[in-house]
Amino acid sequence: MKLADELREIVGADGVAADPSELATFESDAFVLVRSRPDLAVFPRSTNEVAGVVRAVTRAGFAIVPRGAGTSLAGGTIAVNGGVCVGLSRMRRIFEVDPFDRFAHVEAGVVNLHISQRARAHGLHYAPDPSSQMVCTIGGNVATNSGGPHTLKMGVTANHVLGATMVLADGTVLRVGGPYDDAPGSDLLGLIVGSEGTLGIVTEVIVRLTPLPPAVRTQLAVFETIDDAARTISRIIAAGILPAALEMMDALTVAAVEDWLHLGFPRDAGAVLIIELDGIEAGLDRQVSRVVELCRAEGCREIRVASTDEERADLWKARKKSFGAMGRYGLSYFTQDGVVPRSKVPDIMRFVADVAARYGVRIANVIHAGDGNIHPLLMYDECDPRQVRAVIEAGYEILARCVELGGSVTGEHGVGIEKVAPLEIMFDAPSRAAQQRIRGVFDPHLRMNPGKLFAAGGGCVELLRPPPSWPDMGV
Amino acid sequence: MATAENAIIEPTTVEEAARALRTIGEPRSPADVTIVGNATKLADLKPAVECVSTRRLNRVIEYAPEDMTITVEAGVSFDAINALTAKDNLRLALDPPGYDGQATIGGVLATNDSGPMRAAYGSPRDMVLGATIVLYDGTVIRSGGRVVKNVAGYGLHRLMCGSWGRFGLIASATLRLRPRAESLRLATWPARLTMEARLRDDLTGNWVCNVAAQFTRSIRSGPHQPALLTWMCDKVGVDEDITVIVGFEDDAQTAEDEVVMLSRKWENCVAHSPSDSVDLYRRILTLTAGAPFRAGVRPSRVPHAVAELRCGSRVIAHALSGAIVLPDHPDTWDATANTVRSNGGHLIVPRRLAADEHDGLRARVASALRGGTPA
Repeated sequence: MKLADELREIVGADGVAADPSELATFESDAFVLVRSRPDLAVFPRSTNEVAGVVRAVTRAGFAIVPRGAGTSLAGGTIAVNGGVCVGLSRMRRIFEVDPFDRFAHVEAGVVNLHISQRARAHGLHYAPDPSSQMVCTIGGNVATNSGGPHTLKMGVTANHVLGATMVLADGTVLRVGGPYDDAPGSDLLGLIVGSEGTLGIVTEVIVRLTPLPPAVRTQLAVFETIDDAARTISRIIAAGILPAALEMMDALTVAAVEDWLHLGFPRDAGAVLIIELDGIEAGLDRQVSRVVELCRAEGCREIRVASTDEERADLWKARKKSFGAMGRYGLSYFTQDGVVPRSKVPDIMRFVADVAARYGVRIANVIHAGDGNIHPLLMYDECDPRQVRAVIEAGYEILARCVELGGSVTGEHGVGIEKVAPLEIMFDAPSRAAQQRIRGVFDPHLRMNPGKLFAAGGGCVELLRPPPSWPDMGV
Repeated sequence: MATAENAIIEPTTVEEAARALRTIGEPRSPADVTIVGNATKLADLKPAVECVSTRRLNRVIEYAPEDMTITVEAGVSFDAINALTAKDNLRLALDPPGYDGQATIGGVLATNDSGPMRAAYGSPRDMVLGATIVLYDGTVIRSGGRVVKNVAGYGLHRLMCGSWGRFGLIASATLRLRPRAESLRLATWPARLTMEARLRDDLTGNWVCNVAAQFTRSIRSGPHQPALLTWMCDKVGVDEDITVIVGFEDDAQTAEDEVVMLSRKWENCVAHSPSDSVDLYRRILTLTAGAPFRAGVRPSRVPHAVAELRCGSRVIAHALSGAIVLPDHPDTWDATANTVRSNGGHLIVPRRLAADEHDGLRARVASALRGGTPA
């Protein structure tokens, strides 16, 4: 029996895409530099169906490429050498929301924001809030240990996942953790989070729900330079204040957002900070005044405190739509995800500006400044191969510098296919070998999402390779 | 301790640790090797042939207050970290109980130890950002990094949490720090057996626990953000009072407002002074240190589990996280373990009773990390 027919028997006739025109949808994700079409796409409806699908596909000798909403910015869902795309988009059940024990048990295809919407009636929410939260799925969040603006205080996905169900390459269903904090033994769940689908397919997740903050104050602080803004962040942290979010946008970003959304942002600002404080009502205004003081002391030219929910929503809209606003410049863009220690933000931003000048690439910057997680958006004309090459090389150079400054090549987007080579700057051969040996325990024949995290044998996509003249980084 | 006749190996560098494990690790299984820090938790370890201590791996590698991170070798004591970071109003927001502050950071991570404030701030896996690990074949590997957001490679540093030395020796780790709260204030409220409570809950019979549960529910569903909520069942027996302790960490004024508000709202609720609050908090830590029995249940099952467990032992329950500690040596281990399991919970300590369904998988991971072929 043909694999497609076998899969139809498992997931129903409407759950398999085999037609090339249908498959075109799955040949790329939000990482637009590479396309590769899967041989088939299949859409199971339950953990059991995923297990059946995985058994059938691996028996037929194909690779398995899990996919949620396809918002990966690192090519994490691209079938680099073909294979079967296993889409989780039909697995959207929310099994349970428990307001007392504060957890939700959901299927992997559930959209991040939908969890918070369901929990809201109980005064709870799911804290990690990536900018794509209106579409991205919890399964994808677990795969890449997603962050978002509010990770500064609340932490990343790993801090909010209590349990997971994962289908291994041999079809075994593994259940790890549960709706309690303590479980015996080493933290397998912590290993699964961030493993980018290379250990198995996460089909169900138990997430922690967190009380909505009783009170929130959101401020917009306008600075003449990125340096002033970055220094202010250090001052706020040094004052013992831990904001819920501390986001920075540079001049190019602010101008694009303002041109598009008309929210009244100053088009001539060198940088703006969005500073959000939350907690119980008592004491919050004291913190706000302290933050305003610190901003002023560092040369902030204007500070606005959102006084209504609408004003607050507008500030966040500006931030969360900032990637989309780049369309105003009429170019494609390639997003980087490097991380540096918070105190090194001014250094890395100067370096990014220098790279932009040297390569002749326009770079806008959206920065989770409180976490030191930078998102340079490198703009290029996709019809010009020289520009494509330039942004790839410029991107690599920025990541290498992040590592030099004590940081990481990816904060929340994942390694995917994009950062396989940059990962090698971070970890020496023994460290990478240990990771691959662990992978071998879960997936001995390397069927699960091959080519991600580590280069696949033969024909792997060559991306972000250092230029030939690249100096030895010595790390 | 059976290792007394054997020399304890005390490496002072990562290289020495690697050499030590290579020498003793290869011919035998890791079960024959015990890795200790300051040996504060040896009660739960079976005697081993060889013992490696990290106590002389005790350097602070990098302390970056402006980044709120610290990188230390495994043998640095928990207290040493907090003494160092206090001057910048920072701390490692873990509160593993007692041991006179001598628990090493390697030990806290390897045993996934936590204390009363875990529900508010998290457990070791939430704090560890990266680690250098010596595998049993002597290979030195790194995982994670020194920044708070990082998804480069597998989270082996998280996998090490709760591993009890199974995969190797944690040589150093980077941890995230948090601002130190200006003030800790505690309030206590006695849950007592009243006729009213007895009438209301005459079917279940867990009267005192139900009274304590009502108070707990009220705190949890209110606007409060307590740092801890601990049930102290100091006396054995279902009818004995339970002292419920609620703690708040905040600026001095806000913390005071919280406890005063509670003391006005609840009859017999006492708001403690700052110094009494610290003393009482220390008492919880002392009482739970070295407990021979620790379990985790869903917070909603705490009343049921405590009602059963306190028939045989004093019980301290952290009601927000569902962590339950029995400071006395239970007479009937298996019955105690069954009580926890029947409440949908897990046993953490003692390890010999903590059945773990993933043991086979972890054994294969351990074997793969020793360079063996995965089964």
